[in-house]
Amino acid sequence: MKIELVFLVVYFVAMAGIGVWVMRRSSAGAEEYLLGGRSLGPGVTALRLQSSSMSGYMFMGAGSLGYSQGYFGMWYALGDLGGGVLNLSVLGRRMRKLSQILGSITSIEYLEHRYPSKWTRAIAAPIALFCIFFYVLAQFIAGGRGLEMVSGVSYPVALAVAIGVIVLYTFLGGYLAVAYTDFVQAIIMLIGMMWILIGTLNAVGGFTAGNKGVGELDPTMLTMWGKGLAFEGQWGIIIGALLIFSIGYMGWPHVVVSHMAMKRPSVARRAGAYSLLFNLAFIPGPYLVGMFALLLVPTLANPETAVFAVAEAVLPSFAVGIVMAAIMAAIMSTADALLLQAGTIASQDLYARFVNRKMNDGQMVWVSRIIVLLLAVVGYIIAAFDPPAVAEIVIFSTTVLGSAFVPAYICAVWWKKANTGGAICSMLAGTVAAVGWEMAGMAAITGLDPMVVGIVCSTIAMVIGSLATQARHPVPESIVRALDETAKLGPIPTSLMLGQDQTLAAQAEIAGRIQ
Amino acid sequence: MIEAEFPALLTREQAGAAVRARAAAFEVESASLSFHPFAGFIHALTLPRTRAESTIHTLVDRLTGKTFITDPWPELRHTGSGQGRVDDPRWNSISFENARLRSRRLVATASLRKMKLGHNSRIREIQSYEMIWKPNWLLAGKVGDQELKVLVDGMNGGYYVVGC
Repeated sequence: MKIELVFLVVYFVAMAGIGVWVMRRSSAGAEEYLLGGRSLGPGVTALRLQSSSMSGYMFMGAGSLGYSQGYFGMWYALGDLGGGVLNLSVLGRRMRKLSQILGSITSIEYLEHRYPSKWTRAIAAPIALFCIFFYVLAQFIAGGRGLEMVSGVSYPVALAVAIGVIVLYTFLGGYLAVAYTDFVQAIIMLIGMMWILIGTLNAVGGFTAGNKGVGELDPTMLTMWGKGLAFEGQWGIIIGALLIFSIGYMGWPHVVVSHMAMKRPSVARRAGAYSLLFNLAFIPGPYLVGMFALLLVPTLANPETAVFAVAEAVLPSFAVGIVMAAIMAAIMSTADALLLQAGTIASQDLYARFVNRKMNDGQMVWVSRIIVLLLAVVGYIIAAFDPPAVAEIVIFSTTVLGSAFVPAYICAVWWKKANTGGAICSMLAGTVAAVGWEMAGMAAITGLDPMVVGIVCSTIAMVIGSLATQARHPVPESIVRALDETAKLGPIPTSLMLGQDQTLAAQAEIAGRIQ
Repeated sequence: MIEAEFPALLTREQAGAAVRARAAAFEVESASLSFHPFAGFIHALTLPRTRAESTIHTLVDRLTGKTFITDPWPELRHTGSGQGRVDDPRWNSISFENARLRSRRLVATASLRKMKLGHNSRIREIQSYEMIWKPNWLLAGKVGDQELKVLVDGMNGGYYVVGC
């Protein structure tokens, strides 16, 4: 067996071992069911969140962008880095407050509470499910490609093994998916990425020499306008690139899903700081490695394998195994979270809401299982016979989600007249526009990114739809009053504001009314 | 109707201290205890394979529908005079049956996330309360010249600024 594979197997066995150890240690009590991880400190909380939200995209898509477009890829990285800050500072506060007041747990439930109609959920849930499928597909392909490179077996076989492992992981959650395995995965991801970045910088003679080398090959790769200055002045594309991982991420159910358990606010605050540090250390890495791969492995047939190829070129065999384990960690934790999310949406948001209102727990698990297996089989068929590029799929699905949901989220807190009719029009228009623009290849013709077009269309649809249906479907009075409460944002001393327990928001607003 | 009340674990002074830990200049001018209504449920979760059973406590906010998994509760007491109970703002008030459904769904989701798809865990409701009143301290005071009203959780000292 190749040394890389040995490390990969050791890694999986170690993860299983940690899972079993933790399960035995905490076999009783409610703590382990607290979804927010109340018993966990800020470090573990932050890193497990990051390992769940980072994905195979970071190792394949980001490397590919660096390899093919140079520093242009940094627009995506900047969006990713700044997205969290933007969401929290501009949008997050009101959204968080309103979702607390309305008692929403999931992003789809929040939309249904703010825009009360079963159609809100009936439209939002399938869009989310559709996009989740594509995101999971990207993880399957990334896993298959990675395994193919390390093991040397053919891609269809490697893909089948990767999907099998991911699905198995989803079914064996009780033993594998505990907080500490996510934590260890995040550490391995970070170490793996830093290791390969340092190895790459060593191999190219340092950051400055690397840039010089890339500049000699193609000076345009050092600009943020893309290879051959293809995107110079194309702000429609660049804004789209910035929006995708900043605002677009807000549409992801596994990102927007709010706190389901009470948390100490101090943990959440410090966890946010740790997450930012993790992102700063991790995110630029794959883009840079992908770009310097031009010097180390200049004749790659598939740019998506740039990070793998560089790892094999600059690291010793055992280190390649560790980096591969890091990549599989990213892929598995993301795919696992998304598959379970898809199962939950299918069982609770669709089946229980529209098919069988008296669904019992056993049926819920079975619906989830069937959906997961269905996604795996359909995913294999698509990925094996006509595999699209990982970066394209991730960007496409994030674009559709952002286009469909962002105006609905923003108007939910900033525009009192936004009603159910407007939200439904907005979600449909955003989805159709983004998908249609992409399918018709209009981005290349017009220089406008589908994300920009999708958000413009869904925003216009929200405005027109809301105004046109305002007389027949006004915003319910209870929602208007909740919005009034949400808007009350006085000049609170910063020190007090930072320490607030968000779970008390609704109780505070309600209690304040009796005085 | 089975109705109960959580005891206030924090005194007025401790509530003020919880806010002062973040804003040392906060001076309490008045304080009142208010009670927020929740429905409460205790579920037993059994794994068929190991027969291991654990209990999960949930609270459902009767005025918003927000559902939480909580630590095991302190000893409940019979409801008091009813003074300080908050009014229903009719934002998203829910019935007891709806609360029961939400609680069960949350436990089922938590179980699914924990056990994933390889297990068919059994969930059984072992106790329910139609109304549990949770105490909160509503403090009015000042930070410098600025007037503030702050709600302090009467059980764990978490706080939220109501208004200025």
